[in-house]
Amino acid sequence: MKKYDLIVIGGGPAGYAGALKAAQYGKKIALFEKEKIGGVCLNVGCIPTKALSSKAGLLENIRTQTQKEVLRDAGLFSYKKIQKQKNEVVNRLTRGVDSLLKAAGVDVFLKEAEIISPNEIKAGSEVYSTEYILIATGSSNLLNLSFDNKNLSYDSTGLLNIDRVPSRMVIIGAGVIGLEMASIFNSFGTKITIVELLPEILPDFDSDVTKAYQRQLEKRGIEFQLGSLVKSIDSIQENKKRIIFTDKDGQEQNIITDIVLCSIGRKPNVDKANAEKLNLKIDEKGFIVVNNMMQTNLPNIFAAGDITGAPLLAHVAIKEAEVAVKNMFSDKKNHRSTNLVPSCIYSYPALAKIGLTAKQAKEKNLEILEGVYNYIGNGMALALEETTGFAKIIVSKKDKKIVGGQILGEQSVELIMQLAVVIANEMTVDQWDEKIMVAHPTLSEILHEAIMDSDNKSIHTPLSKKS
Amino acid sequence: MKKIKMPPGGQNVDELMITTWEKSVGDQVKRGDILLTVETDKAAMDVESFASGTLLKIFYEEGEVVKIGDVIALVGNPDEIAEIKKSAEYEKSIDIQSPTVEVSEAIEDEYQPIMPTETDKAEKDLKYEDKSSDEFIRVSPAAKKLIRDNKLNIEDIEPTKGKISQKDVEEYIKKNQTTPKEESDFKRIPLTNARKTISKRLTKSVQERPTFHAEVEIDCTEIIKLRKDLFEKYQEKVSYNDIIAKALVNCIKEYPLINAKMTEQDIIVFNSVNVGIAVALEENLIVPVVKNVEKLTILEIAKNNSENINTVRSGKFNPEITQNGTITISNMGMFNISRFTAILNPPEVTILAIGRINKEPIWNEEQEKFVAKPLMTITGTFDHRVVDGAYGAKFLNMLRELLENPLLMLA
Repeated sequence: MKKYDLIVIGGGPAGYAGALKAAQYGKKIALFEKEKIGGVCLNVGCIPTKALSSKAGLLENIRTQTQKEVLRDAGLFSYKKIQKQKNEVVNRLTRGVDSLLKAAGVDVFLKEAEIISPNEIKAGSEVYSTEYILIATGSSNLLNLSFDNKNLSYDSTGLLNIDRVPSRMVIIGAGVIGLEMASIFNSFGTKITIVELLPEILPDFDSDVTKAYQRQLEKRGIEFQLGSLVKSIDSIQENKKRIIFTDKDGQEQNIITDIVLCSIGRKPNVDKANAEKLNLKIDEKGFIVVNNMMQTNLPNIFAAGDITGAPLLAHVAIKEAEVAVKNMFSDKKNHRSTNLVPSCIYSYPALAKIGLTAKQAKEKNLEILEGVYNYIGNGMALALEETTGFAKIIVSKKDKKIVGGQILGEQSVELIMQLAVVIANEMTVDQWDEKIMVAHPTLSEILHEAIMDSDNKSIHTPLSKKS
Repeated sequence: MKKIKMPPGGQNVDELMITTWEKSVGDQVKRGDILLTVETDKAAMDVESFASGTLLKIFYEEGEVVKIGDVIALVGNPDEIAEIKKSAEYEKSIDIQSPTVEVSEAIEDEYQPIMPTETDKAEKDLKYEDKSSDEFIRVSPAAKKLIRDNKLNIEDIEPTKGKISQKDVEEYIKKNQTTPKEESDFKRIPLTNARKTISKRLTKSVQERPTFHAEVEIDCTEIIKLRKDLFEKYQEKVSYNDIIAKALVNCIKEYPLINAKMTEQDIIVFNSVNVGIAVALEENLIVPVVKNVEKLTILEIAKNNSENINTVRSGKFNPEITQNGTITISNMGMFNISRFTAILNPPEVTILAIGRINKEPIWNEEQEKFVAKPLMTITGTFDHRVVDGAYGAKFLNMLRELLENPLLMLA
């Protein structure tokens, strides 16, 4: 019987990051993956969608410049070629992860593995013994059979593999996946309606931000049906489906569409029966219960990533796996922190958030100041012709510490990380003002002006607007 | 080659009527182009093509009612047309579901235009609704003035790039023909779907069908008597329309082109005579059809007709009742109209307009004096593409002869 220090189950961000981290401790590691190294993120999630959204953004730019007559005869594009390029990106990245694992001396098995005891794994007929186990089996798309009993809707994985642009798509669920897919396929020419049960989108953001965001998407022709309940999906003819829902006024509506995308959430990849047998604690939704050291109720077994529940994000998964492995092999105890999880939506325009929102501050009874600055006042944004959007900064009133930010607009997903540094270091508005010089011209100046605006000190905001 | 099928029209709708074909055979179509408009009794909708290529064949004409899922057209490569022609599927009478033709893969262009097409744009603009009033929408001062002066609703005007300009307002005014007048000068009646449909179909009928009119005067002495006899004998009320319908069958046997329709390639002559009778409702005009009149006695025709009329007037009827007509009768006698012309009910090629019965002086050769006779006018409107003048005239005269001597119907 082969003996390992750590066996990782799952080759997604949590799994491969955990394995690589453990390798830094000089440990002997095996990693089992039943499908493809890279998991959802690399194969059918973050990375392929970004490959598509970059092309979507390119098309939007060409359209803008053609309308302005900078370009003439915009020409044609091939979705097949975009797909091909997307697949190349995915292959390169998964090959990269594969070779990192090999270089780290991790034994990679492309097999399904089963935990038979806290120290034993069975894969096929072989049993492997180990000191620790890291469960990183992730999550998969949730489909809803109550309104889709014939399984006519696509999940995001299926949608990524279609070989031509549908002319009509209805998206159920206005979460991050739904919104990104809406934005991407809208750019490729698909007419889109998003049907969402909640009366507003993205409840974790402030509603002034989400309203402005929704408006931008509506301007591009994406239709929102909020507060709407899907009743049924049926097949009408070859490649045509009819989705019936009641809208916010209780009126029944129906849309004939090529594709229905169901993006209503994800479910854990958990073997409930086996968990029960092992006495491994899972919650009512099937997510594995861990403490803040990422340890399950069975001391040798740790879990990380989507399988431990929200937020289901690759960057959270990687961080959790690293915390888990540190707690296995170092004396210093490490704790997971969920305060500063950046949340990014790669749509056009993009939306990003970190730290507290005004809504959350209010729930915590924290008195705050808000600073806002619009892209249109920024030289770089003007030069890039990306003048849509704004940054909103949340500052604690008492000590002027910057505690959160939301950015809508070009590069917001990159800009937000500056705030991560600021918030993690508990920087105040005055400290930022004294210590930080922002290069000119950059979009980062938007952040600077928004931070200064919280204290009414933005010199690029008209005086008349200041209260 | 791709089959274009009749899409569903919503819940509880099994079939739809084709209102207009926006494309003709031979036209290039792209995915997303509007091929045709269809309607239910409640709503009209556009049918987009999901295939690209040439419109090779149209199976159903305007005015025809088609079951959801039935193949209504073929789109593909023109080279394929020869192959289809040879096949049985060319005629819609063949069961479309039977796989008589191997359907090849769609010839889809791999490349699609980066700039949205005009129809795409229109769609997108149509969909864009400004929900949050003027919180974000900017309105230029000139536009504001125009909106105020014309008493327009700002929410009705489509902004361009998030801003309402003077041009947007001007275009809106132009499009809506709103004259800057006081509202009290006129009353605005919104168009109902029924009204839109009537307007669309009749306009198209007149625009696309060269017609001619011809009229005969009929001495109704005998058919008045026939009606009376039938009532005395059977206690059944038979209308003049029923008797005319019965007479029509004999005439059509002699003049089959009266009971036909025209397609792009040919004239289709129907074997059965399905007579539609125009019924005026408060806000609509419905033409219920009595089918297979050639197999019915006058009493049966009368029974079917009065049932149809009652059903239609009740307002609750299956659209099937108005389908598959091959000829129409419109009678305005009860409105005291002496004569009028009617507009063809596509795809039919004949409609008969019946006037009131009125006593008129007629010269009697034998008695050498004017004698009062109950006369009725029948004015035929014919599609001249199918029915020639002399042909129509002969048909009307035979009809006159039969109505004046109903016993001849037995011949």
